[in-house]
Amino acid sequence: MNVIGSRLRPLDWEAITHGRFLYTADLHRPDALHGVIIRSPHPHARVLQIDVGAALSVPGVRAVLTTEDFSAGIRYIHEGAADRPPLADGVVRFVGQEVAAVAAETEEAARAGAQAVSVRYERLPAVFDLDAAERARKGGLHPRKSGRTNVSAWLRRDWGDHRKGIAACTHSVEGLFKYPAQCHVCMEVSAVIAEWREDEARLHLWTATGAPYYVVKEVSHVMGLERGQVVCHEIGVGGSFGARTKVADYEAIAGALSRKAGRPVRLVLSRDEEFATTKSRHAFESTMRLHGGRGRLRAIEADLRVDNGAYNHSGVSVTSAALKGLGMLYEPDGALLSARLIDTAKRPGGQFRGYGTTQSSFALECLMDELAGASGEDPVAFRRANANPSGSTTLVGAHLGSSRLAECLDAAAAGIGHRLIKFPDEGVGVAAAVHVSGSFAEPGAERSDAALDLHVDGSVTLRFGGADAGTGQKTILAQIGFCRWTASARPSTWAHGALAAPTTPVMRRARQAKQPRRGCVRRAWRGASNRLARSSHAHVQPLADRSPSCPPT
Amino acid sequence: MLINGKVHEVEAKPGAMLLDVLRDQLRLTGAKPGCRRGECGACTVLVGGRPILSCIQLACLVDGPVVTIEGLGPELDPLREAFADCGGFQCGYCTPGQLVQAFALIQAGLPSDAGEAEQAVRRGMSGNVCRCTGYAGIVAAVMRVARGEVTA
Repeated sequence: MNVIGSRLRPLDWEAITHGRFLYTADLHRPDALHGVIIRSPHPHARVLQIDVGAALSVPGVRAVLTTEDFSAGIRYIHEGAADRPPLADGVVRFVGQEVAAVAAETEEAARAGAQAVSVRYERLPAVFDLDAAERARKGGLHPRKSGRTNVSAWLRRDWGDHRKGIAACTHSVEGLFKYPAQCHVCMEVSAVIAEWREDEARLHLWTATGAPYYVVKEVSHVMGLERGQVVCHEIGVGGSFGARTKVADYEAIAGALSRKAGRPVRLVLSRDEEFATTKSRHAFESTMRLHGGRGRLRAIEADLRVDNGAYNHSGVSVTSAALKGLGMLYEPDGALLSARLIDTAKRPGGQFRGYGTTQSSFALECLMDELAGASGEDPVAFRRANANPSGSTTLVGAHLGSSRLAECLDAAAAGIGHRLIKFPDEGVGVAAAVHVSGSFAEPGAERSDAALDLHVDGSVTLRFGGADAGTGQKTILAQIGFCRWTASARPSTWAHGALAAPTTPVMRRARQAKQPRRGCVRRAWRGASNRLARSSHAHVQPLADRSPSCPPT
Repeated sequence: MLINGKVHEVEAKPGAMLLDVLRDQLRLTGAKPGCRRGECGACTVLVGGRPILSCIQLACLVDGPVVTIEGLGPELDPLREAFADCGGFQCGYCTPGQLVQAFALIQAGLPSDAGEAEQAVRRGMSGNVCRCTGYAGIVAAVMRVARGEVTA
């Protein structure tokens, strides 16, 4: 029986279609307090005083959390670009920033408690757009190493020989391309249940995340815990689109509230909070110029301005990926690129599907059409002629073991019947894009581990440390596990607890155990249930019963 | 209230929405809060056989039997299987609402002409937002059942 390549139903299909598949807010926790976050009403202000006395006397309020409950100066790690505290410590930098939080017996009491928290602010000048932010000469949102006010990072890339390409060109096209911020709009509003268990000295989290590794890493860091003291439990994830691939801003707050109150805390954002305060796709303003001649793209010049919002988060790596995307797809003589990550007093940007390449590709591909048009060439054929072939080394320095861009373009062109019509309002077009994998972004990031529990009845549980946000990791890993072991076990007795996402974080989780491979697996097996992979914990029906299209042979 | 064939005594404040009564008091969490303002369809349940948005339905004004995703039995199985086979969901959050809506649509009857039926499905499902699938799988699943290709 070959399960790989077969069309299978997702492992959880019955639970999902019966309404039994549980997401965080579905969990029945009558013992949990309700958490509410108090947010800044100002885009930029000093926090002079937070008075929680009145809130603590509101009936039902059990805890009020402020920055005092965290270590002084603590910041989320965020890939080394750390600048954001879990709760504002002295300054707020966007409307909606977390300033304090209340846990109470009921939601009404929590809201009444939040109303009773008195915060005194001293407003500071705030900049909201890129021009104003760059014009400012003092009073930036953060002290930055770039040497320029409000410029968090300034990246420059000079790949290949752009001068040669420019000297040889016969046509040049240029433009300014604005890509707005965008909300992920997961159907499930963000929610977390946090339970600090004093007897274990451990925090248990049920949270909509596709990356438990990052949640554990960041929450333990800002709460002053060891990583083994934070456990992410497996729970449904109602959409991600990037939103749930890093730590969120409410998980540590709920965790600290629970630790302070000595009770589980349930914190569910409203849709308004989700739109207004959670991280968005970064807005870009890209000025780009392409030079070409004789059917070739010869050089790329670009200056990207990236709206960072008020904190870095993944801004530096998103910006870097945006640049990298410009040096991967085609083979011009060279590219001269720069990008500025600019601080504005707005809701911060974060990781969103495409991770920067979406924004830079938008500019590049619009101009590729124009460059093809300027020399009277078909836009598909022009891209095809410039596509990096298998075996080539890109401007970035990546060696392409395989590249199927030309075939992709052919298939897309055939699919739309080559109707590249451009009406004022609508039309049919082709664009190409490349996404740089995060697998090599950090040392060891390409590594992953899973554990198989072989039970006496011949069934198997497959464990891994990730989470499935609907993109099928559980089913895929069960397929792989099934094929690997099917020779030695009876298919009808297979069970698969499928647990994880083959993403970067999962992989490094085992590495951190500092054990050789076998040790890692053992760790993920036992210890995992404690500190690593309890995020993934499920036994399901035998796979063979779930795959009507591929019965056991 | 008559919910999924059983009479339940519930205590609801005058402003309480049906969705919260179902989820908090009866622990029927299949219907989901998505937008909480009647725009996304994740909270869809049947009242008197008709699909309604339970997040904007005052519980005290419900005047018919309520059926949630949990209350639909084998009669929903063709749609369940078609959704699973056609890629009608990924994260699954909107799926209970989609299924209840699709069930009501098929119960109400679709035009016999295939083209008109698909238009009716697209229109009838347009109030149920899905962020994962791009809808093609959902339309295909409902059409498959509408054409009688899947039987319970």
